Amino acid sequence: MILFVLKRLFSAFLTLLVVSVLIFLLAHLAGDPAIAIAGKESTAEDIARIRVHYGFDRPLIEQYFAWCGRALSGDFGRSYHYQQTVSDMVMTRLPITLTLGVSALCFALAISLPLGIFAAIRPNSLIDRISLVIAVVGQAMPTFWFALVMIVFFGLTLRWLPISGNASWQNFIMPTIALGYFATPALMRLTRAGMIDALESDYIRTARAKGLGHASILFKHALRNVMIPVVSVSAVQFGAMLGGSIVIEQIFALQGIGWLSYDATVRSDLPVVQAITLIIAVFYVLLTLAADLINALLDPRIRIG
Amino acid sequence: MDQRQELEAVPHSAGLARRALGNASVLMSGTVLLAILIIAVIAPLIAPYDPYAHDLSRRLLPPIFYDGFDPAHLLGTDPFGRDYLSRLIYGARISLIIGISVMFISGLIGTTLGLIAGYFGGRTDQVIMFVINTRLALPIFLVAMSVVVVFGPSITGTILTISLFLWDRFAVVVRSATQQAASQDYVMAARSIGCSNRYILVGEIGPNLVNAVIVIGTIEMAYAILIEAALSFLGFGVQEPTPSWGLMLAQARQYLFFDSWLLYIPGAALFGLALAINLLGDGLRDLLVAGDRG
Repeated sequence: MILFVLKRLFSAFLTLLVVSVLIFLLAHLAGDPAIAIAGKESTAEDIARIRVHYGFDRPLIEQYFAWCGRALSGDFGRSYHYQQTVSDMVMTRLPITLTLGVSALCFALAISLPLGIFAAIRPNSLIDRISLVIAVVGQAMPTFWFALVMIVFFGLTLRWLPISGNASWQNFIMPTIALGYFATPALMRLTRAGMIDALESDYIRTARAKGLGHASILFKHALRNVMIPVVSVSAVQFGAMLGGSIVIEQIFALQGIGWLSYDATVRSDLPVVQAITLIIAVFYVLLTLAADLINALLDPRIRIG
Repeated sequence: MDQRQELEAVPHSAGLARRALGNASVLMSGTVLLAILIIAVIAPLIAPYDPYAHDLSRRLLPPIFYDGFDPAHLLGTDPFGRDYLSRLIYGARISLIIGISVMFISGLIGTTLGLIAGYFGGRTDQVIMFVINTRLALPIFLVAMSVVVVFGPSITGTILTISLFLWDRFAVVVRSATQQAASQDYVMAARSIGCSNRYILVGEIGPNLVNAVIVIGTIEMAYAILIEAALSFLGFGVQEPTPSWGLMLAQARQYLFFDSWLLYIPGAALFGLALAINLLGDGLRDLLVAGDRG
């Protein structure tokens, strides 16, 4: 187990190292950051002074290590556009995106778990067919179009829900549905397939033979095994939603890190873009690491193989 | 062994065609997809107007299912007075070009990496799995937008960026299928008579992966089309005045209250195209993968 944890930690560290190099290089391909900071009307002298001040004149590898060192201590530098530190800007926005991500994941699980389980118990029933339609439609639905159609119906026509901003919990309802529906098909198919596999297995037959109750077999025995893949896919989906929320946040003017990263990209505010990309990558790596470790605890076969 | 397979191959493929025609979802989605493909190819012949022609005196005319529509413009006109039907028809071209190119490029990258990882195993496998994990940690929209900031917007750039993000599922599926195949008798036999690794991968294992790759290909093609639309919607994909469904939706966004039909038409087209591709993939999976005699 210790060897497995060490190996897994090492590969997570390596992934982050490569990701950080890529993010750093991409920002430096964007042209001279000194010109971006100084603005278009600045003199050559100003640009040269800024270049020395920010350290852009030093070798790239030295700049990378300096950037990494500061990033590790939570210092991502200052925004080129706003007179604020990047970490301040990101930290005030992060809770909004995390709220959206968590509620969207809860929404997806609240739909996919019960429907997937019931569809597996009664294949080809009406509920199985309904859940199949929900999955097929969800996979083909352009998330941003779905969000806009909801705005027209629930926001503009019926006037039930606010269409922009993040002032109250009601502002999160439509973004949660839009983003959560995106994650639903994968989770639902996984639950259904896992449940059908589990119900056909020998240990369920044994449990039935012993005379255990239906509910006990379903929830204590079958569901527990289904949860292992559901946990890992939920972790991956949550990570994907943090990155994918950029479109939803932009549509609903929900001012989380997705909204901030759009704003920063439009303004070529590179330190902000770098920081957000890195933070999303860190979240993803930590989530999948946690899911792997939980699964290794649950299933001894994983940590030996 | 070879003879038996040849004997089996004939009734099998004939049965496949019959089953495909009998499978309602493959038949319907295949027909819809073929129709969209034909429309896209012959767009200049069937589009009633030039999709770029402005006419500000005829802007925002409503489509056929609204009162007071103009018979000259079946789907109305956009805020610049451009014929909406013509832009929709030309927009199918962009979606299909991007979907098909991404499918081929990412399929090539993913299949190659998956084959190598699954066949050689060990250190090679570890390195490729590491590359897959690294790719999964990078958020696609943020990187794609940064790439546009760095290199400027272009259709080629959009295709390459999306392709570099969508090969992972090909790689994962091909890798595990190759791992299974590598321990089969026919691969051992090929190896024992001295076939090169390249021949075994391309000539022996490859053909057995085609079905799985086709199914993944449909999923990724639909996904690529949706990503392109979202990027164009955000202003980081295809640029005005090129007709793209994502761009039409971005424009429609400013007219949600009074002219919401601007939103419904390209959105429904996008949804319908993605749905047809996904249903075709689902149907093909039932026909090819599940019906495989492995």
